[in-house]
Amino acid sequence: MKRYTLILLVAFALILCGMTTTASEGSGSIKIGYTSVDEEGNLSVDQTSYNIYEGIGLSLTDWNYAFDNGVGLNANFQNLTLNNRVLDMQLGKPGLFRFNASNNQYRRFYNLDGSAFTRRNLTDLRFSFNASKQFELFGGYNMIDRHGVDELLPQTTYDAEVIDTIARQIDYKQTRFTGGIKYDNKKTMVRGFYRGTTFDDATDLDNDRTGNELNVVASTIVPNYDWIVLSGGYIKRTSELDNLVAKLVTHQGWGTAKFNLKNQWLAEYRLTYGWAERTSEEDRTVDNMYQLFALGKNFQKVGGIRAGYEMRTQDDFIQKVTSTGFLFEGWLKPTDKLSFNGMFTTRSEENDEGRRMLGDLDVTRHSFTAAYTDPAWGRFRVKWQMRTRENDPLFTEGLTGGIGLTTVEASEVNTKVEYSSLTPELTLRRADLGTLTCSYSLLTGNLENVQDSANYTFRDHVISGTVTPRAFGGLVVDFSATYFRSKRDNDIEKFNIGFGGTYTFIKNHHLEVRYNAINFDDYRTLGGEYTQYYTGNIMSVNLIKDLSF
Amino acid sequence: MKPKRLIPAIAIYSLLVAGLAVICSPSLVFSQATDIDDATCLGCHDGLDQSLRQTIHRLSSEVKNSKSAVACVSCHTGAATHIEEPSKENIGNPARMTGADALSLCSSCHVPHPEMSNFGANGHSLLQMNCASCHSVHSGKNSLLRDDQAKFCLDCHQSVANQFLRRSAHPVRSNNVNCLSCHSMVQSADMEMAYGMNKVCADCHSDVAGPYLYDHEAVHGWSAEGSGCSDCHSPHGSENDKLLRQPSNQMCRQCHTVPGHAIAPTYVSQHRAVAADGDFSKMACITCHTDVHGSNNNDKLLDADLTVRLGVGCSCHGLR
Repeated sequence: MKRYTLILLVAFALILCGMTTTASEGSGSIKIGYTSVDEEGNLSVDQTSYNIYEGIGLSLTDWNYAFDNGVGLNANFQNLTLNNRVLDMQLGKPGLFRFNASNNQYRRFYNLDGSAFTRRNLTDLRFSFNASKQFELFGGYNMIDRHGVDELLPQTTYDAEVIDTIARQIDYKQTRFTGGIKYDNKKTMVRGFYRGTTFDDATDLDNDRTGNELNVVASTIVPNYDWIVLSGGYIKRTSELDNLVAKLVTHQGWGTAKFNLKNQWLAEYRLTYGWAERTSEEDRTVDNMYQLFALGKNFQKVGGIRAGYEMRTQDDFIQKVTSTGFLFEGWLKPTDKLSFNGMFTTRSEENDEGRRMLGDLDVTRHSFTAAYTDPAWGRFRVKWQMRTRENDPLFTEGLTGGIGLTTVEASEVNTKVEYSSLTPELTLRRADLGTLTCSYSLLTGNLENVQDSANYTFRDHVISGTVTPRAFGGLVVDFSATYFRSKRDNDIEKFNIGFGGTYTFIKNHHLEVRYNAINFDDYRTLGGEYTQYYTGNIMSVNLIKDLSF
Repeated sequence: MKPKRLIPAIAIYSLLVAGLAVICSPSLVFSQATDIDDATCLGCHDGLDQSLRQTIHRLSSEVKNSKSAVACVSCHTGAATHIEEPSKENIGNPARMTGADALSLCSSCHVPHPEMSNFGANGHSLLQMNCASCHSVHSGKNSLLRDDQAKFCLDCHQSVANQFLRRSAHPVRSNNVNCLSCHSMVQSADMEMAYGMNKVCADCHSDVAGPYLYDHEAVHGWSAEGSGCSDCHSPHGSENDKLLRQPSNQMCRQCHTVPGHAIAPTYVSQHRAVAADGDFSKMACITCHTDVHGSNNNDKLLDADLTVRLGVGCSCHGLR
């Protein structure tokens, strides 16, 4: 990790040194301070503080340097001295080239005291070069390095109070190279790239695998018929184990035709065809097809409606599943300030040949949003959603169990889930007072599971608010609070309170203080090593100096 | 349906699109709506040329040998009237345009995202959003995005923002990933059906993406047994560990009700030996079936080291 940080810093320094002779202007901030973390309880149950470290932090934020010749440098290096560093740098000249480099890492706890954790380190390098106005070459390198100890979290379940924990050593590295070319002449775009991936697992060589991808996409506004837009593409992916015989090859071809017709009528046809070939202990070939027809009409700038019909087929020559779906959506904007939109979709999936565990499936979704926006004071919006999913009972004979063939007399999979949510939000803005944002989200639903005894309802409440008063002299403050209550398989209460302030005591010199209190409780769990209680107090104090050169 | 039958059709379709690209290339000259030069505009709007300097919209007056420069009047229509009587109301401004008007202006130079190319017919455009809703012409940020951080999207997608508050969630709040890491407007028309949504997940989680000698069918988006990762995991956030839609056994039982395990107590005594503290109720499916995404050892996705770990034989299951 430190190697990449060092490389980024050296690159940044070299570029800055090189610029000092010709640069026209630059700016940025240096931030240094201390973060204090005071925690109690089970570190693994709430991710808010997984990636926060105690210690002295140094950041270089919003560094911008512009050459007279148009080359620009942007850099953001957060927490250089701590393990939760997020580093990002861009160098580029519009229309000629762009280079991006970034590195960050994330820690995840898996047990009570945090001794079992993994760290995921992500490094990304990307470049693009405009060989001409129409042609762009692009490529990149991406690496994910994850290591540590992963452990199943002790968690209550519906029918087993505590899950046994199993520790697992994690140590793998994934690298990816990409190279491609893009042609874009304002009306037509064609882009193709090749990507190679290698996965090396230091804990088990059998997991090592290699993959590659060929991806071509094209889109064009048809000349002389600019009301027609055509898009299409082909993707082939291969992934195979290095040391065992298992290979997966997937192909996909897709195309869309969109027609912007007279009188604001809109029409669309989409076709996707994919097939997969898997070679392993159980060879398998799968054909998939998806088609969509949609027709819509807009009524000037006041409203619009759209209806669509889709068909899907998944066929592995043992099982065949087909589905049909309908889509209806519309919007209405009677005034500049008031708007409504709604949507209804439904899909019915049938197991035509063979038998799959999921059985037949029906899903529906409704959503409705109303918003009132007034630039003078802010916005009020309310959103409602409802979804249902229903798995029909399976055929009842001859199900193969884990231990031999068994005849099952009862319906095995017969699940129905209903879910709805309501979210009103309010934003108030007054130049002389400040900004207030608040929202409430209610999510409620019911699950009928495999057995009647497994039926249960769930309900979540989330209340959140942020207040940012107007600046007083050199002082800018903000307050935020979130309360979360969830009754599902668990019974969770969680809150988060935050306060922050920045005071400018001398021109270009600021003192920043931030405080966060986090509390997490799951009232359904046992105590001791299985406690789900967590509380954390996180405070950081920073000095910031703005620079311009 | 034989896959190979469609190969020629797809090849022809691709060639057709590529052919159109080459044959029908329109003029590449940027249009100037009037002969009003940038200096006239900058006389009042001092400094705006600076904000454009680091963008693809550098003014033609800024560069000697421009490959991609535009003039103020390329985007701001109605300049002649505006000069006569300066007012915010009489100058065209994409940032203040609504709906299809802004899209029409921008698409005179840029191929619109597939989702936006049929205005009013898809997600964002249905809400009367347009290019300027997410992009700022005078911004120096990558792809001219107003903001590439998650907060920008979550300001509207409040219900998704609330999901990120749950017990397990992708690290969006710590800026390790953001919305654009998974959601690409540029490729939104690409259904990724052959690989399913798994493609997006596998980009970071290739350790569980397969292939394996013995796959768990539900893991694959192309499979008839499931629609991939999102069948079991809720990507924005969950009350359960590892983004699972339901906890432990309950998740598995959505599809599996296997005699001899949880439903019928026939083999309880045998399994009691491998349960924690000898308590069968503390056993979960993944106590034994650890390789839930796939296994290179056995078709029941059992832990390869189960016999070693638990100290009992598992010969009934053919565990090698």
